[in-house]
Amino acid sequence: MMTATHTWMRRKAVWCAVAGLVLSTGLARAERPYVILLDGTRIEGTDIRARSGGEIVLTEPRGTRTFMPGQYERAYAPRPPEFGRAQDMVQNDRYEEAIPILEEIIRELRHLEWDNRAMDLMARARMGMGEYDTAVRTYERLFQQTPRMKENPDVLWTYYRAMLGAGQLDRLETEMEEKIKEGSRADAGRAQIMRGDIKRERGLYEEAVLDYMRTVVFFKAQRDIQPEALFKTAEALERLRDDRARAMFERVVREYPDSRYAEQARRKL
Amino acid sequence: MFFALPAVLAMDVDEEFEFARGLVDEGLPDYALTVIDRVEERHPAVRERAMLARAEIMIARRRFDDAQKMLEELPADQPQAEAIRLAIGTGYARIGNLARAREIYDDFFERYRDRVPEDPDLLRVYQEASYEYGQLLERVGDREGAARAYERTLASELPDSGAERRLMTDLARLYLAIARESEGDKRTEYLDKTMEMAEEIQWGGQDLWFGRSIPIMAYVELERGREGRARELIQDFMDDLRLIDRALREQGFPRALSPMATARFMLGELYDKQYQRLREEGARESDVLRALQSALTEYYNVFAQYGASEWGSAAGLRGQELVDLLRDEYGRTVNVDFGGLLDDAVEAQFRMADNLFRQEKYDDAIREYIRILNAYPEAGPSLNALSNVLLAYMRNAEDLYVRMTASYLAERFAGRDVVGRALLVAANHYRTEREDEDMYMFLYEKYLEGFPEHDRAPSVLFDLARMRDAQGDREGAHDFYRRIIETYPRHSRALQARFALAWSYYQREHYERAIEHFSAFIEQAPPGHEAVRAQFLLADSHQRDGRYRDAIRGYNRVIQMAGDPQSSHNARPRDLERNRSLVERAYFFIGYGLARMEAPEDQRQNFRERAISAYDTFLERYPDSVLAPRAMFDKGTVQLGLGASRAATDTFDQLASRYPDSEEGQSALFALVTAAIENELYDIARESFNQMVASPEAYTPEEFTRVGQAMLDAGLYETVIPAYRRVVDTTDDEALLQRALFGLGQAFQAQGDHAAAVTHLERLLRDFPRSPFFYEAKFVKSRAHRELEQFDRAQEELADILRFSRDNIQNQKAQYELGRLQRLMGEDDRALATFLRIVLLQDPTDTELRSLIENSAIQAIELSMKLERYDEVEDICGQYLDYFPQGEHVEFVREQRRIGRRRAVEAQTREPVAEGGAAP
Repeated sequence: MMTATHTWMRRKAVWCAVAGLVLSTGLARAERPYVILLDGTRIEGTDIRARSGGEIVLTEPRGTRTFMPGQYERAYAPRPPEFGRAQDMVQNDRYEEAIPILEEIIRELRHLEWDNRAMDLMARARMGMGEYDTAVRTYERLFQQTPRMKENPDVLWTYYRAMLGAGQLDRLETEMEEKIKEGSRADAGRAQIMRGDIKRERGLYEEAVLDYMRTVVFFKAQRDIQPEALFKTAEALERLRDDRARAMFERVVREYPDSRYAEQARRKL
Repeated sequence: MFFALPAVLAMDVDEEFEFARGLVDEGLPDYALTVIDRVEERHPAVRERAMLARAEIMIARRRFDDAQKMLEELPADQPQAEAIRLAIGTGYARIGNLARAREIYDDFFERYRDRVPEDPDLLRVYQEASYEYGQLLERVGDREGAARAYERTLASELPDSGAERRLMTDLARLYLAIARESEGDKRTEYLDKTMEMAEEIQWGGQDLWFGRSIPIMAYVELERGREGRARELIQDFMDDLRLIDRALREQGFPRALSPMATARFMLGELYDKQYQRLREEGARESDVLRALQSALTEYYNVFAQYGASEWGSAAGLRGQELVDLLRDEYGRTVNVDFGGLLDDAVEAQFRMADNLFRQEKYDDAIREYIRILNAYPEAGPSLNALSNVLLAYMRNAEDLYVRMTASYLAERFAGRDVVGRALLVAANHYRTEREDEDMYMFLYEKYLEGFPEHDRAPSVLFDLARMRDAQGDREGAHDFYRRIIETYPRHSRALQARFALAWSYYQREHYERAIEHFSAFIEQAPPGHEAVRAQFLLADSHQRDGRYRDAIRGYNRVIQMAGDPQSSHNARPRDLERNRSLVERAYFFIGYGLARMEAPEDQRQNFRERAISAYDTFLERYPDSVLAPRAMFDKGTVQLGLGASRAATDTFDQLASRYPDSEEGQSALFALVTAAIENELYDIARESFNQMVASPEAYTPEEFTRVGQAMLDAGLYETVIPAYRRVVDTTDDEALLQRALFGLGQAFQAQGDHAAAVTHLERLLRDFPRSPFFYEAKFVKSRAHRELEQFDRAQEELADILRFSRDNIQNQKAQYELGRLQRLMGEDDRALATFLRIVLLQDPTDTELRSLIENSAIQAIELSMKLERYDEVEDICGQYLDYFPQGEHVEFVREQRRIGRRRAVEAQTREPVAEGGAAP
């Protein structure tokens, strides 16, 4: 039977939990560092450092705690303002200015998540500068250091685009074949397009058309990749001086007017 | 079992065929064919399925005859044969050829009345066909037939539940339509069937088709006279309908598909009926108005939100009527605008005209179209209607009206796609079926004038160019090609036109223009065989124009482009194959060009040595090429030209041993002789020829004849005689005999053995009175007789020429010879008359006679002087100086004229006149 005392204690616990929640939410807005343990527990602190060997020192109100490699899943420092600046630079094509900033973040915030993000951004900057080989190497270093980054589709597909730009076509083709056979529908559809890109790089435009069209025909449910498949089909046809290119560009504009490929297609028309 | 393939591979094959069908739907049938070719290559066991897939592609491209040919290659009872037959029927149905489609369908479905095919390909086509068959029967008004077709389709177990439910809905709708047309038990039966089908749809889940079944059920209630129940049904399910409507919107489906349109339109109709009933009953105005306004609300909602649905236009039209009614009868103004969706309403009005057109009732269709067009001349759907009017006039062969309509369309609606297409259909009809050039050119020009941006315009121009080419009108074809290049420079047809122009000039040997256009083509062409071919032809044009340096550069470029199998120009296997031949020939022609290229004396040796080296490269790479014997022959000729006789002899020996079956190889020695003559190495030619004579069995009479001709042309008469004698002694071939006898006549004549010349020429003329050498033999024989002082016989030969020849040049030559003969015979008067006939009657501007006239003038002057006919001398000299002011005898003629004048004066005064002046 629930007594009055019990009720009050439950209510207090609830209020504490709520207060804690409010507090933690309020402090989360100011980005507190934290560590996530292997069991998923999240431990927040007021300060965080990483040692070169991967040991994490988290400062809590009660004192500091040290987590050895293998004891934690991930450690996270507050977002450095420099990262935001570097991001802006990359978005505005000021790649050379962004690189040194990102290199510093990688050095200073090793093991604290921002090194991973800075490496990803740096690889994109390298791609923007046309240095695809360097971008590929950066990604491979990233994946070696933090294998889970390879599970991020955005990162992974940017890596693949770097491989394409670096002309590592054979390797890339092997990866795409595997994704087409065994990947998710979304991955298989994108891999089909990437395989078309590989063929295009090899000057095999007709083969590229076939790969792009496989995405159009078999992956209609993946609407987010349809405009890219149609647009690239149109480009390959254009390269072959096939008049059907125009109708294909028109279709991108008509069926996917808000996609970035529609914008490119309009310019073609 | 329908496949010998393992299940996994069977699935791959199925996916590939599905991909091919998808490519056809996406407008890429040529790529679909590539996919099918590859499937068949990898899995030869699926040949029949591949044939079916190809046939379906042909049908999609309206190439029914090609599909029919494929059908004939299969056994009639093969499932794929049945499938192709059926697919052809579906193809006809889709292009509106209902009669042909029906013929095929009726036959097939009669045979499959009580059964469903088991073969999966045939089943798939069967299902598509039976649905199309149903659609066709509906269009021609056979609803019960259509219902049976849909029932048959349903019974065949469609693989896609969405397609199945859609078909069930169509069937329910059809049952309802049949019920409406029927009476008594039949009506009841079909109303019941409608209701059963609608309920079955509802049991299948809550989706679009569920929503569509609700109004169907409401209509059944209405047909049963239960208006209230109909309204209740819709209102009871309104929440479900709203859910479905919202879900469709959220998923991005067009609103026209929503069942809400039907439901609300039906509500509008029910309120409308209520309004009319209340009005007739004389009910209170407020009740009447309430019903009327409720109807208007529903109609307006349908029109505004679902205007593109099948109810949109009807709702709009009726809604506008109610607005007018409210205003006119009840003085109430409603602020509602139906004009925004006028197009849909107008389109609905054209439907009957469209049906008449499809049923080929052209007179009625035209009348109906014109009636509505007068009310809506330029609404959106009016363009389609106008296009159909054009085509209806065309079908009725009312050419004047076709011209009138086409001009109106092209002027008023320039640039509108549907109109452009209609003009093309009409033009094509006049071209292929009526062969009326006047009409089709008129229509094509209207099309090109009004629709220069149309996607088919470049192709139309290209077709017209090809047509002109086929008619032999090259200039006409060129005009069209140029138009494409100038107007559509980035279109693929511009590239094709460029090549066609280049090729045309090349064929006509206008190499400079060919070069210009090939070069432009190459700059723009994508990688592949066509680019390599154009490059080869460019090099070839240079070569034929004697520009060997540019030619060699061009051939080297061919090798650069396509010599490496990995080159992008060899990406396709068939390109690789075709390019191989071009690369091979390029290697050959590099040597060829180097062997012939003009070069300064100090570089000549270098070029010729490079030619030899190039030929060696060619022979090493392509020892079995058809050009290899020729390369070796050329190499030997070049070696001879460089004075390397021993090397040349070795080369010719190799030619004979390596290529014994080739023309050059079979007569290597003969080749050496010919090559030596070409290089004016007559000693070598004689020596080699003597070897031929020493082994005469090794050489044919033709070869001896050819050597003889070459020797004769080079003036090696003493060598000719044994060659031709050999021919005469060994052959019965009349052509060779004639040439040999004539050759002997010429050779003996040239060597001064005139009697022998006469003997052989007499034999020629006696044995071959119609010989092509007749006139030439007569000339030579006349000279021979002349030399033998047999002047009468010499004259007879010339008389024969003058008697029989129709060739003026030949006749004048004979006259000249006659003049000389007469002179030799001392018949000066006659000789002078003969020469004067030439001088006075022939045209000195004729380049073939000029020299003859000049020489005749000199002869005439000499004779006139001898005969003291100084007036003649004056005239002829004057004529000579007029016609031949730069002639080689000018000084002589002036001198003769001066002498002639002096002697003329002396003759008059009988006293000599001092040189340089007249007599005192």
